[in-house]
Amino acid sequence: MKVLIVEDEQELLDLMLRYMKREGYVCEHATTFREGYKKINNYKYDCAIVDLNLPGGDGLKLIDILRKEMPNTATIIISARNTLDDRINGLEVGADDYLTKPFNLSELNARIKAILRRKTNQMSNELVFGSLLIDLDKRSVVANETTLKLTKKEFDILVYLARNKNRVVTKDSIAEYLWGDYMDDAFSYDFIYAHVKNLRKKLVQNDCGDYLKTVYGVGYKFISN
Amino acid sequence: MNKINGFYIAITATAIFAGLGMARYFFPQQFFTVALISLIPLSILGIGFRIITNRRIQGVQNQLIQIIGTLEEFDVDEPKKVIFEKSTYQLFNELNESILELIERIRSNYQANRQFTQNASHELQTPLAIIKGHVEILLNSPHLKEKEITSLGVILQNTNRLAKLNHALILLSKIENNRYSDVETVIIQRVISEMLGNFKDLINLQEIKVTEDFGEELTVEMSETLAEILFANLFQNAIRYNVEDGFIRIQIKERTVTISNSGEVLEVAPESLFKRFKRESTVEESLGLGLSIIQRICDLYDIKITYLHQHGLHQLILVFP
Repeated sequence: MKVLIVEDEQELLDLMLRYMKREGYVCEHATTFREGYKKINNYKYDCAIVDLNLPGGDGLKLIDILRKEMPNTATIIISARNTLDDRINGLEVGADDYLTKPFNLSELNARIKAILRRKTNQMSNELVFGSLLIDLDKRSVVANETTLKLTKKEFDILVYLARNKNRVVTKDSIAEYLWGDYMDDAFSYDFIYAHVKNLRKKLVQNDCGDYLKTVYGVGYKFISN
Repeated sequence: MNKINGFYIAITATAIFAGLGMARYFFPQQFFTVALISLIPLSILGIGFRIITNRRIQGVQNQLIQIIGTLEEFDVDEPKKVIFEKSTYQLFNELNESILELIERIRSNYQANRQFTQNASHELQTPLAIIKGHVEILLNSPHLKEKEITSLGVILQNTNRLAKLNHALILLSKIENNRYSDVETVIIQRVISEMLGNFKDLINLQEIKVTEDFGEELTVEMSETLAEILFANLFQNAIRYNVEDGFIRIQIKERTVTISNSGEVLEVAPESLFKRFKRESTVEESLGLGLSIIQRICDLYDIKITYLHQHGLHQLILVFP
């Protein structure tokens, strides 16, 4: 899979490149509007991550070009502008998603996977890990042939962790993923804790308890070999 | 106006009496005839004088009213150009010119202020994102010891606090800069239900009982976004400072909304609660900006807000105009 990242902030760019490469993607990058423009004119990408404030132009224009000329490319805007208008503009131009800085890399990762799944029209919309099967369309989880009764939030947490398998996913990133802006600080962590506890209990009952690991004080990790 | 009129009457009267006095001295016999004769033109002169000055004063007054009207219409947010009609008085033209200059200065300061808020948010968000990203990458490096993971957790937690603090400060300055001028008719009951829905998980988790007494529909002219932020913050506090198995009561009566909740007794004086950064020390990690945000929004729309602590429960009373 080929990913283009257009971001002028060098350090943030390096971070994303490192993260994406570890995920097994082939990555290219551009740091100015012109560079980005050249890249999308000359090559094809499965996914483009574009910052809005670029030297030499507005990232929205790049999204617009991509939408018209390469409609199969998944596009994600990353921006520090986070007014409702900016979001609406971005999505109207045709971006598939909009992330506000500062974002969590695990969130970016999960969103890319979600969009790609949608875009590529994969026949089976399932995540399979040994005896655990997550069906994203039906929103159901089957563990050792037993369908689990999960709440909406439990299901969302499981999918989020599974999409970031073998990585530490922080509590605040889960909080943001589940509630967006409304929730803040410590007491949403209690809630995540309670949910993961219930989720794990349900998995353990069906001998799938080894998938969720707690990283003390930080978050959780979905283990899969 | 009256003073000026009085002044002219006094002058006219003095002139008449002076004329009379002199006439009496030179022609004592014909005094009354002369008095009568001199009185007529003098009073005509006086009345004429009054009419003319009255007109001029009226004109000056009208022009002043026009200027005040133009100034009242002025909105720093609107790019509309301020135009004064040309006056027949040089003084007014000069006044108008200096007002225009002042307006220009206010506008450019306002713009600069706005720009700063935006830039500040942009400039702060990126480094915060970089710190967070690096911690995330470090957390995923192999062979980390538990101690190292704990340290990284602390760094991450505090970076998040900074990011949220930044977010709240930007919101405050946006409200202060009147960035939410999209006033519409908001139904308070609907906003409350929606916000309670967002907190449903947390309310259930802490086993808090919520009772609603919604009364007649309460509509308010305000920005819907700010109405949402207002009640989100109010409920967040009502949940955060609550106790396990506690309760929240929401009562709407005419234009008064009362939110009562169970909770521990405050250690801080209630008045100081609304200042920036004040917070109850027993609850960890609250940012203390929530109440300032509430206060700002209430100030903006003339909503009277009072805090009461009686019979062991916390009460916030909002009276909408």
